[in-house]
Amino acid sequence: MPHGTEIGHFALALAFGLTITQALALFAGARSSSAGMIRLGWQAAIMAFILVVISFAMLTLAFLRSDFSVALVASHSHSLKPWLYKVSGVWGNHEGSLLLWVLILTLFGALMAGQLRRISDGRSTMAYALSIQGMISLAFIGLILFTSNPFLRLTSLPDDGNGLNPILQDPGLAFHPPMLYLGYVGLSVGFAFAVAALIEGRADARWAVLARRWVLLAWAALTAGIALGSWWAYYELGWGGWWFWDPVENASLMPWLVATALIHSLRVVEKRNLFHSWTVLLAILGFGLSLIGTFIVRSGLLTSVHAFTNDPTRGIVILVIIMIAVGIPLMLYAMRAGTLGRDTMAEAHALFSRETALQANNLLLVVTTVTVLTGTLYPLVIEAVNGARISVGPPFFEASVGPLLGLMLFFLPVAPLLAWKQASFSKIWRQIWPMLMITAVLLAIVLMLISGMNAFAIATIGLGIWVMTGVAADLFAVMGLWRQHPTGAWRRLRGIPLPRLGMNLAHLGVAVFTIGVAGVSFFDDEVIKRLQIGDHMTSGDAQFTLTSVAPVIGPNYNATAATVIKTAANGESSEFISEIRTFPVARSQTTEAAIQTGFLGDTYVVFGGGTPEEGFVIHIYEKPFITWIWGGAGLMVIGGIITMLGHPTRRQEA
Amino acid sequence: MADLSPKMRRGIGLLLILTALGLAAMLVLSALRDHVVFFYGPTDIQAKAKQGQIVRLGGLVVDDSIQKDQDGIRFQVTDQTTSIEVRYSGILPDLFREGQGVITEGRLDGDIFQADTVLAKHDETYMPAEVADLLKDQGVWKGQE
Repeated sequence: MPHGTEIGHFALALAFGLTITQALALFAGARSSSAGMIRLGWQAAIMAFILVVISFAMLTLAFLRSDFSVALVASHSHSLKPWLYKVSGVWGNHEGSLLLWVLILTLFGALMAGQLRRISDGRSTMAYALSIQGMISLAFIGLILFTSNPFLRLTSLPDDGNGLNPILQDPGLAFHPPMLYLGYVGLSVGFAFAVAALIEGRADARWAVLARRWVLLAWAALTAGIALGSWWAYYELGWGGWWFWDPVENASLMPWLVATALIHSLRVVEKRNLFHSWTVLLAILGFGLSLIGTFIVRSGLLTSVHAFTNDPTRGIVILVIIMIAVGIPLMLYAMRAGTLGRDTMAEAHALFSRETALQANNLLLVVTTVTVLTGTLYPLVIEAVNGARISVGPPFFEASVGPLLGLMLFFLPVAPLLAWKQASFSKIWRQIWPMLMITAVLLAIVLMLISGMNAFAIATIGLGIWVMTGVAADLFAVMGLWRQHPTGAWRRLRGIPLPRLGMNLAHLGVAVFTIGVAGVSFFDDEVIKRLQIGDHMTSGDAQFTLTSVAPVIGPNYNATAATVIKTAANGESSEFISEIRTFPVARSQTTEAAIQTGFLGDTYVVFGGGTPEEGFVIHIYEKPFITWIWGGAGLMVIGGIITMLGHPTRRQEA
Repeated sequence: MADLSPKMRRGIGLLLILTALGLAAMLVLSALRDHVVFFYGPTDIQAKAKQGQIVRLGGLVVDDSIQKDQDGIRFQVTDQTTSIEVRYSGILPDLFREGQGVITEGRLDGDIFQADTVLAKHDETYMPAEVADLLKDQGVWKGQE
C-alpha cells in the first residue's frame, strides 16, 4: 500500500472526531437517560478503536517495509534490523509510543463499550465513565495530531535509516513498554469511574463492583510492566542491578503503590460501603501519577538513565493535559466528596477489624508514595531554591521506604484473618501463634545455615517467612482445618472462591519477592579482575577461567565475545559467553552479560573489554535469589488476574 | 472495643494517621539529611566538597586522557576551566566516550576523584542535564539551547 501512511493519518483524524462524539453523546445520554444517545456513544468508542488499530497497523507496516520516506521510520529504523525490532521500533520513539498509548486507551474504551452494551444495572455510571474515557482519548489523539505526528513524510529519500538505539534492541524492551502502558492507561478506567462517581454524586457498592475488575487488570499489567523493565535493566545494562531508584522507575512505582491501595480500598467500598470518598481520591491520583510518569519520561526534567533528547514544548502540552485531567476532578471532588456515600447507611466498624487493617494498608501505601515522590522531586526543589545540584539516590529510598514496607509486611498476613466489622482477638490468636512459631523455627534454621547476617537481613527474611505463614493460615481457614474435621478439606480447598485464591497468590508473591530482595541486598558478591587468556579468578567457592576472546559477527552488529569457564567446588563446569557488541549504524556499543540462572541465585559474568597486552576485564557477580524478585512479581500478576476473573460483574446479594 | 463512641474512634483513627505521617516525615527528613548527594563540576569540587564525602562529579571526558592499568582506569574530567583526574575500577558503561559528558559518583581523595560508579545513559547524543548546565555556567556550551 503506497499510501498506507496517509491512510493511517486519515484514520487517526477520523478517530479524533469519533472520540468527540463518544464524549458528548455518552455525557448527554447518561444525563437524560437516553438509550439512543448511549448507543451512539458506545458505537463511536468501538469505531474509534478500530480506526486507531488501522492507524497503528499502517505505521507498523511502514516500519516493517522500511519505508524511509516516512520521517519517523528513517530516523528510528534500519533495513538490516531483525523484524521483531522493526516492530518494537514503532514504540521506541516519542511519536510512536504516544500512538501505542492511544491504541491502548481506545482498546479500553472499546472493552468498556462492550460492557456498557450488556449491562442493565449501573448504565448511567458506565456511560459517564466511557464519556470521560473519550475525553482522555481526545486529548491524546489531539496531542499526536497537532504536536507529534508520526506520519510525516520526508521530501528527499534517505538511503537507509538511522537505526534504533541498540540498547533498546532487545526482547525485554520490545514487551516492556506495551505492558507498562497497559497498566498506566488501564488506570484511566479507574479514573473515569471516579469522575463518573463525582458527577453522579454516588460511589456505592455497585460502583465499586463495576470499577474493581478494571483496576485489577491495570494493576496486574503495571506489575508485569515494571517487572519486565527491571528484568531488562538487570540483564541488558550489565550492572547486575535490578532497581536503581531512578526517577523514571519511581514514576512507575508511584502509580503502582496507589493502584495497590485502590484495589484494597475498593474491596471495602464493595463489601462494607465505606471509604467512598477516599477511594475516589485514590483513583484520581493513580491516573494522575501515571500521567506524571509519562511526563517525566518525555520531558527530560529529571536526570535519568531513561532520558531521551526531546522537544520541551511537547512536555508543556502534556503538563497542561495533566493539569486539566487532575485539576478539574479534584475541584469536583472538593465539591462532592462529602455526598458520595449519602445513599448508604454505613455501619460502624470496631477498631479491631478488617476495615481498620485495610485502612492501615492504604495509609502506609500512600505515605510510601509520598515518600517516593519527595525523594524524586527534591532535587528539582533544591535547585529552584538555592541553585545547588543534588541527587537523591538509593540510600535515601532504602532508609525511608524500607521501614514503611517492613511495617506493611508485618501487618499483611494478619489482615486477611480478621473479620469484617468486629474481629475477635481470641479467635485470631489461635491462628497467629502457630504462624509466629513457624516463622521463629524457620528463621532459626536460616540463622544456623547462614552465619554473620546483620539485623536488617534477619528482619527482611523473617518478614518474608511471616507473610508466607499468613498465606498458609488463610488457606487452612478455607480448608476449615481450624474448626472442621480434616475429611473434605481438600474438596473445600478446591472450591475456594477465585478472588480469595488470587489474593493468596498475590500475597505469596509479596513474600517470595521479599526473600528475593533480601538475598540480593544482603548476600550479593562481586569480583572484578584483569585476566590474560588462561588466567583464573575465584568468586565464592568456584573458579573462573578466561578461555578465549574472539570476534563474532551479528545481523547488524560486530561483537567481541569472551568465554569464561566456571568450575564449581564439586567439579561441575559451565560456560559463560559475554559479548561487547558494536553497532556501526548507530555508532554505539552494548554489553551482553552472560547469566546462569538458578533457583537459588544467578551467576552473572560481564566482559569489560581490554587488549591482549593489558589483559581483559572480567566482572563476576553472585546474585542470590534474584529470580525470586521476578517470580514474586509473576505470582502477583497471576493473583491479580485470577481475582479479576473471579470477580462478580454485578453485585451478588448475599 | 466495640463500645467506643464514634468520637473516640475518630480520635484514635486520627491519632494513628498522625503517628504514621509523623513517623514517615521523620524517616524522610533524616534520610534526606544523610543521603543527599551533591553534584559539582571540576572547578567547584575542590572548594565545596569535603574529603571523603560522597558526591557526584560531572563534566566532559578529556580527549586521549583514558589510561588503563592493573588498578583500573584513569581519565580526566573537565569543565573547560579546570580538569580533575578520576580513578575508577569498575567496567565503564557502553556509552562512555572521550570528549563526551559523563557523571560519576564517588569521593574526593586529595586531588583525585575516586569514583564508585560511572553513570550510563541510554542515548549516545544525550548530554546529562547537569553537565549541560555546568558548561553553560562556564560559558563553553556549544550545543543548542
